[in-house]
Amino acid sequence: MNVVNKLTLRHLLLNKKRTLVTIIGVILSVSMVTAVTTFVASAQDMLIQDTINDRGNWHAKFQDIDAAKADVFLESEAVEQALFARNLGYAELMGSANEYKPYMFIQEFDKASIAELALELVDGRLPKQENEVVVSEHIRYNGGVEIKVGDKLDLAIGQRYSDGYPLGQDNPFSKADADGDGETLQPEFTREFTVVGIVARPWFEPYSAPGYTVITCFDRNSATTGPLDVRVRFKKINRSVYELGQELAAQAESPDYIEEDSGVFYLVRYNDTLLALYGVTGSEVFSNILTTFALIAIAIIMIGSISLIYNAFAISISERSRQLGMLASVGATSKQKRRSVFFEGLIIGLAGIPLGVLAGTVGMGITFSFVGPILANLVQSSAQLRLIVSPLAIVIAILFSMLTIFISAWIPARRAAKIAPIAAIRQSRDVKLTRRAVRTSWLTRLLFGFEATLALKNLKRNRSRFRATVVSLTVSIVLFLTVSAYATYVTVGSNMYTPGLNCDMEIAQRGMSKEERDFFAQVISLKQVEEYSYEQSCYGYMQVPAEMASDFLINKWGDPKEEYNYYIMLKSLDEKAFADLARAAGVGMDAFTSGKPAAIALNQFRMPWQGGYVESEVIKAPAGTELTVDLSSSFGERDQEISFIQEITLAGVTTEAPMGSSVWTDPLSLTLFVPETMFDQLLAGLPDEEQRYTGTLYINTSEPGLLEEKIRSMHQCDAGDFHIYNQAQAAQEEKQSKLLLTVFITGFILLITGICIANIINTITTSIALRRREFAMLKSVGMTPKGFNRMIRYESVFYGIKALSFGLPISLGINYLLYRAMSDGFQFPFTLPWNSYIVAVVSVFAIVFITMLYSSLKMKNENIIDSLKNWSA
Amino acid sequence: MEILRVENLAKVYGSGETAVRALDDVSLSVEKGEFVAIVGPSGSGKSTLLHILGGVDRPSSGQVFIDGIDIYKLNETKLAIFRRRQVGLIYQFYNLIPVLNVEENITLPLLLDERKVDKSRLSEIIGILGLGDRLGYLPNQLSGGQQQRVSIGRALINNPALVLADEPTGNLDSKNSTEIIELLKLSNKKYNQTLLVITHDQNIALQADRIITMADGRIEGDIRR
Repeated sequence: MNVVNKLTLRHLLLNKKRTLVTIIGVILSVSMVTAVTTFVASAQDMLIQDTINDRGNWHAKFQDIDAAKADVFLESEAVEQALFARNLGYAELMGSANEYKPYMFIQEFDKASIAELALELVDGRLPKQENEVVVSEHIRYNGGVEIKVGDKLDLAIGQRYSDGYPLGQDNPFSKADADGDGETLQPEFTREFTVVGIVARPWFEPYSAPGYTVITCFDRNSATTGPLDVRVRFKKINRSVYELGQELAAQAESPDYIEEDSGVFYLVRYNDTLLALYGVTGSEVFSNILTTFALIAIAIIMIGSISLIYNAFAISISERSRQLGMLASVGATSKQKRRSVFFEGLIIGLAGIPLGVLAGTVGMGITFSFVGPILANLVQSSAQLRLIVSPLAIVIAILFSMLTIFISAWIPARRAAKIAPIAAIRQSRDVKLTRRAVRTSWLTRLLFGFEATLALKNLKRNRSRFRATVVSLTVSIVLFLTVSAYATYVTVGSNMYTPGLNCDMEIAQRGMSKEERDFFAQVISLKQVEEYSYEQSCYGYMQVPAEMASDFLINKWGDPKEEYNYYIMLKSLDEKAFADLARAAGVGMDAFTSGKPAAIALNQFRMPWQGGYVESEVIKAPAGTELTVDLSSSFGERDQEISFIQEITLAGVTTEAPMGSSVWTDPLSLTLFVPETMFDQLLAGLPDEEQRYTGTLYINTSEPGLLEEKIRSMHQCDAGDFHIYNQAQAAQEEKQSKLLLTVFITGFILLITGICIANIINTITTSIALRRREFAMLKSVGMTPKGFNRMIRYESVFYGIKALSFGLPISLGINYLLYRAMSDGFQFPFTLPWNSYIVAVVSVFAIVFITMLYSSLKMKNENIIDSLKNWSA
Repeated sequence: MEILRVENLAKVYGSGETAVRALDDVSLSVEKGEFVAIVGPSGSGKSTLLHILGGVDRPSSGQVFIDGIDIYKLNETKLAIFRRRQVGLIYQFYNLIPVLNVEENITLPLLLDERKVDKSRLSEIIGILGLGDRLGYLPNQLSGGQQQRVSIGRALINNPALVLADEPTGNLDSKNSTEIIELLKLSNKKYNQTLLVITHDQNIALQADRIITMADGRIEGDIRR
């Protein structure tokens, strides 16, 4: 070690406390960066687990490979594992309730496929022998056929054909048309199976597959016939998997290819979601979000830590300026002086980085053990958030930390290089001090006394140090208050949201049929449904003569007509809701019990009009008017021309929309409310298959997740007009994800605040230490201990006031913006986290004061003469 | 009239084998208005004596009476107040406060005492010191001689019972040294100020009313002229 470095090291050891605080700052910074990179790695791992649990652990799939070529995959160096499967064929499912799904589809899996293809066992066990099967629970829920564990299945298995072509699971069932042309099943052999387990509907069963999945076991070695489906997992996961796929397909002579000008291109299926998570394809949105999040977090950490570490180096340099000047006077070059600063950085880094990496990893591990259960509940998957110590994550963290230290040392190093020999000779450090710099107002003296003036001048003497401290404090205040405000708005927001919910779950079916009604009845009978209400609505048209049309329509809408075509929505309300509405409209319930159709109209619309809003009646009709409504419901997919005219008496009108409804935003639409029984009565004349009204079921439940799962598995999935709106689940998930976010952000802020506090301690203790001689002198001319304390207190107060005078307005501004951004969905008045504001103000003064008091305590008891001597020596 | 009396003063640094007796049974008495020079080789205990007289260091044993008050019987706060009212200290290295200007440095003891500055006394002292055109300057804008004059001003502003100077010219050239000594003598004559000066300069010593010679922590000689 050369002499310059030796001196640097000695200087660091001499200033143990400051060196230690700087190292702690570096540890905090590194541990935060490590935490961020580790979090990203762990989140990625969790998503991978989740994807594997959902869709199996494989990368590429080759279809219809000749059994004789299977060895290609087993012998390939690039393949970690090959999974084999074979399709046996279809067998009729006797008594299937779903006419589009009349079969069972039997597949054979080898042991590896059974283990790795994410079969989710609901009951029993997975098959181990060739005569054992697991069946999809969809058979029971959707097909209505009860198959239990232990049942024996005697199946006639064969292929489906249409016009002589064989059909697969990707081809939906083609029902025989009027001429009797449809697909046929031609049984080829029979096999007997024992049902050993029930599985959830597997991910690989296509949405509109005609056969329910049944899986049995086979030994690949004895299977020498038939085309095999081969899935492989590669050893190395990178972009080369696509080329490898082509190579393997060529070697195995896959029949699945297209010929292009450039040659043969094999159609290999890839598990894209999984490959994207491994970073093979870069387009995945989620990995972008993760990366962005990580980069923003690291940027904030770097700003915080650079301000700390830079400050530490700057202080060290200004203290060592005499030493460096002395070195310069005996011939140290600029390069040597500059290097001494980087050497200091190296020492700090060597001590801080390894400890930081360790602290970050351990900290994340502890955080995960707390957060993991919440998250597992939130995403409702079997994937676990486990700590992944990825070498890449640690290398990235180390690189960022080294960069941080390097940037921090850059300016001090340049300054050190410029230190001239004269610095060693100069007595005073305050060479550059000017009168203007330390000018204070007479008001300060008048209000607070001489000690306050002295305190203020002391702050002003080293502007950059003062600024660094104030900036550190300000950043801490702003970060703390922003997070508090965020947490407040999250809580207020969810509190606003939850009572507003009038149900936990909403199930809507457009185009109700008898089946759907039965299905709704089935849903209602589930034990998870605690309360429900049912609402029906359908659409129709009404020809309205000009004298009945609204004034607005005739005079302002333009295009006056003899007759207008109105759009009608007929809605049923349950007994209580309808009675409320009737009362509001001033109509007696007698009107609806006479047996003659009668309705209450929501006779109001509101629409934007010429820069403002227009609000007006929809029709001009007195109570008792007969409305002729065509309820043929001829809308939607099936465009059939049927008329279904009904006469409905207008029993009364209202201008206030009952709950669940709203006024229309155009003058040509009218909502008619009828009681439930009348709705059925009105539509009774229509043949069943034409009753395509919308049914909505509002449900209250305490197990929204389970209920949704049940309903989904019960429902025939190929109907596209079915919707489940799981508000309770959504609200709960939102709450939990916000909680999770708050946990992470709060941890983040605590650590950032830690860095800021380290910075403040560093700055203040140094500035106090540098003023040792002055303190001694002030005492020697008769400053009392009380006066000394008062001076220190005022210095703290001024630091605090300055920091708060920046921090509070900035925080207020950010809080308001946050409020604007977050109050979007809900209406709640602007509030501030007052408690946090008080905490911030108190802690700012406390931190500064305690630091100052601590660093000046030693000095207070020091011998005046020693301090004075030390200086001139 | 006796302004200062020292009885059996001793100061020991360290303990046991390594103990150093900086002052060994020193007793002396100083009359008001006396100009005393303290001379002696390095390490003879001059500075220690001066510091203990000024109330900035504590003796191991013995008593110091200034104007009849046993100053080491006072508590920390009272001693500090005593210092700023009754003692003026002048150091070799001036020890001014860098953030205060000339006027504020001179009036520092008054400011600490929260007393009103006697304008006529201030302008008189500033006039004597020749700092009239430098009042707003900060210490780093002054030469060494000027800085020492500021520290003399600070020592005199309160009209203290005792002015103690530790090699006040040790850091100055001969022209500045002469001026500083003339100022001290002037204050001694004009305000009947009691003055104790440590010096290595024979010429300065010879201008004093009394020369005390120290060696090995004891008073070796005490000559009144």
